[in-house]
Amino acid sequence: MATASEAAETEHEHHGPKWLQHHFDTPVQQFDAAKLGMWTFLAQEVLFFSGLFVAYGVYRSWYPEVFSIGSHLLDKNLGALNTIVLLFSSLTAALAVRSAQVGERKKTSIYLIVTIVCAFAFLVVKYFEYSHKIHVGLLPGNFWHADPAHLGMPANAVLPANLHVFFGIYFMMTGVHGLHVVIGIGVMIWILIRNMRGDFDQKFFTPVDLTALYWHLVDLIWIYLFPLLYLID
Amino acid sequence: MAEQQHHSDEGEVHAHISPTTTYIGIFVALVVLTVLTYAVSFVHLGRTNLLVAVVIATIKASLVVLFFMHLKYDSRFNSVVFLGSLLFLAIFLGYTLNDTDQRGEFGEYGRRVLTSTGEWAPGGLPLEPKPGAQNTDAAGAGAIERGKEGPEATMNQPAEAEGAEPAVAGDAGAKAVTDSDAGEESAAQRADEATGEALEDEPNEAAKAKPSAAQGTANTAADPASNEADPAAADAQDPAADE
Repeated sequence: MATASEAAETEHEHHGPKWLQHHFDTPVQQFDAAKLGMWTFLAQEVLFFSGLFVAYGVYRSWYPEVFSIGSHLLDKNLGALNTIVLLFSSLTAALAVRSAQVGERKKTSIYLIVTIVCAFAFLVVKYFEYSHKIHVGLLPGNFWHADPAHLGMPANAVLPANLHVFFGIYFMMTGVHGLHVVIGIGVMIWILIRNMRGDFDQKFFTPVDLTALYWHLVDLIWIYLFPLLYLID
Repeated sequence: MAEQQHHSDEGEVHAHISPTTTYIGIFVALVVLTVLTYAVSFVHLGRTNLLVAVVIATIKASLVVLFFMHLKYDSRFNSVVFLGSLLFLAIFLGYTLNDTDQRGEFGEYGRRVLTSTGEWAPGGLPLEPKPGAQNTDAAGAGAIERGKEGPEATMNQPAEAEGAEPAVAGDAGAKAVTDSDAGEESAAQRADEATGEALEDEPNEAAKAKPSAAQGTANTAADPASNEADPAAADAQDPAADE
């Protein structure tokens, strides 16, 4: 900690600690730039998902009964569980940043580990959801082969004609979101390794901050996905 | 550990550090709101269910953005960037929904009928023939006469086109999209009959509508519609199986 930055300062002399990149004059300038860059990326992520949300909006307004029945074929308890898991992981991510801000390296590691475990728990729940749907044939587009008997309905029940559209949208939205969860896990593991290596301290915790921002966005997307997909009346 | 105060710092970072209790409090609020939205979903409020769900989700999202993501304590410009993205999301969603909601089912002479109200959808060809035009097509003249009476009068009319394939009942949810110029009256009538039958049917019936595919007038927009209906066509009669 102290020795590392002192050694670095003798090398870089009048520039600053080793994590201060050469094109920045001061740490606060680097921090503000990093934050702004991250928020710009998050703005892009919002627009990235907006395509899927608009597709959802259009198809739901065109086929309201399809979306109602499709939503009832999802398990809202698992969806609610996943929501709580992600909200808790957001809490631990925020606490990880806080620990890094006050220089508590061990706590930062612990909070990051808990966040990663929650992320895996989310994926496990998704695995159960997806495997059930694959089993009964609730699949998007041409892969659709569901029949009412396997869905706990009377055998002569008629499913709406375009139900595969709902499941196409469901798999795309939760799938792309799940991909973001996987990417988030990878990034968090990398930041955990860096933290255990001693890269971060009270004066430099930016990567932890930015990683947590990404994770909060993943949580934000799910906050909207859950009611829109699982809680349709 | 207490936050250190610097007076002679050289551009040190002084980020706001929220207390742990704040984070835990926000988390509790988020869980309460989740339980609330879950509970409300069991109450049948019709269209209001969506509004309530979105409002609660937005409150949750605001808590996450303001406190977990520190936007409340950050540089103001970061908020501008984020809110800007929401603005463009709103424009994208608003304009697209406004447009797609005003597209109706295929009706008379290329005019579309809004299935929700039974009225003509905006746009489409005028009902009145062009001044001075001679309309010798009996079916066409009849169509104009019926069109003046509104969409209901044009429903359930038998197809008067000759040598055309019989129309297939179209699912109200399946969008039958075709170009309809004035010369395509027979196509219009067959699609009209399809729409007329579809509007009488339960929206849940699986079917496929391909009125003009055989005439080769199906534009590319027809393909997504028919591909969409393809896997769902359980009991569709389709004599025009040319795809």
